[in-house]
Amino acid sequence: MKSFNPGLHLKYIGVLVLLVLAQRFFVPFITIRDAGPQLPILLVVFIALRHGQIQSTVYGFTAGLLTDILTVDTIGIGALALTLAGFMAGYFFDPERIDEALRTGRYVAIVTITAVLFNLLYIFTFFRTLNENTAELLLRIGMGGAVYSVVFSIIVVLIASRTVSKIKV
Amino acid sequence: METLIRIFRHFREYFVLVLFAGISFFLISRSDSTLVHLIRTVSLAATGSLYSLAENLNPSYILRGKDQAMRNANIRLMEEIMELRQLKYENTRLRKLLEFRASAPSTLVPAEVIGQRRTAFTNYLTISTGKSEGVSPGMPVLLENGLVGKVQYASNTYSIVQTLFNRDFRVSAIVKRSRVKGIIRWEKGDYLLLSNVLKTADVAIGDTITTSSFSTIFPPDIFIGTVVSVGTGPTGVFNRITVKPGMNLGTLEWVFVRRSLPNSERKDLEDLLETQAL
Repeated sequence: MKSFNPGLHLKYIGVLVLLVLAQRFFVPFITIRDAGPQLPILLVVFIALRHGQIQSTVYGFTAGLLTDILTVDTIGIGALALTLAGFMAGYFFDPERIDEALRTGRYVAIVTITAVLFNLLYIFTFFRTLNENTAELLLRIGMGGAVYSVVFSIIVVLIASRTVSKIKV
Repeated sequence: METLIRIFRHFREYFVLVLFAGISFFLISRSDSTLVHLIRTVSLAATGSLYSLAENLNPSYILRGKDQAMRNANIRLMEEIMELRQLKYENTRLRKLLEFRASAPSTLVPAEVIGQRRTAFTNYLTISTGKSEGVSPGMPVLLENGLVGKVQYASNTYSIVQTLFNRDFRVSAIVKRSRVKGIIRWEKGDYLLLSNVLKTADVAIGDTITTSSFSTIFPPDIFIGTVVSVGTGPTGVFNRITVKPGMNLGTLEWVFVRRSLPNSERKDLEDLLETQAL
């Protein structure tokens, strides 16, 4: 079992707080018809690929809770959706491929799946009851938001491909 | 014991999931608790400052002094317009024949809109006024051209306003001409719905919708919007009435908080009735 590295987790928490703040203050400016990227998912998936399911579940919950607190939506909805998304992303953890976490299209693919799942969970949890608008919402926010997150994940991969070799995570 | 530890180790991912999902469900169920309100208030104080900081970096900030004077004049005019509107309707309805008790004059507090949080289901504004100016949760927020929403949370210097464009927002409303009552709510888009109105009720395109005296939160006769379409609802029993709101959320820069709180005595009495019914 790998030993706990507090310094590394402090870095993660720092990045997480920045991403949640960006989600609150930056994302509203680039949202198109309610569909916007889910920036905390980028970190949660990265943690899932590097550290496994438990860590990604914990970070998913933390990110969701922070987002809920900063926004004024019902507290707990984002936490639940990101907890489940983090747990699901953890299934893709492969101890043999830890170093490839950000270097391949695998990261982008897992962000896609996780973002779709998160958006679906979020819509269904928020909705509580279904009505005729659900299909349109799923397509517009569920898929639209996921595509948006994927765009950001590609940017992360492109940046990482240039810099990751210089960084010891 | 060892077996239990083995089971825990084997399924620890699932235990972690159940734990955090459980906490999330608990928080969802307690979203109106005092603790959540406290967390929100602290978060509001922090995020409100960030919004203000961003606003101050805006070059248009320099012009605000002049703008503020004009806004103050606007408040006085708005109060006069509202008073005139109320008088007009009172005359029309011959309410002078009744023992009409005018509501106590309340003070309007101007507030700058410094942030907006918008999702497919909710729409909140962050405004630059709070408890230090006597603003409390539950107070109505309005403009000269209609109701905007109500204060949901308030810190010392900032408040969060739940607007009409929010799935959880409901306000008891009345059709001015025919006195038909219904409930204003929002589903999607730029229009509101007047629900719970029977198909046989007298509602026509162009009718004015205002708050009704049934509301324990909003004072009566605040303009909400105008009827733009009347159709049949999915059940066939109720009308589907679309209302164009007076205010335009996209262009809001300033709003006014009306320092009037719900009538607690009336609310307590109505709550008692509800408790007894259960």
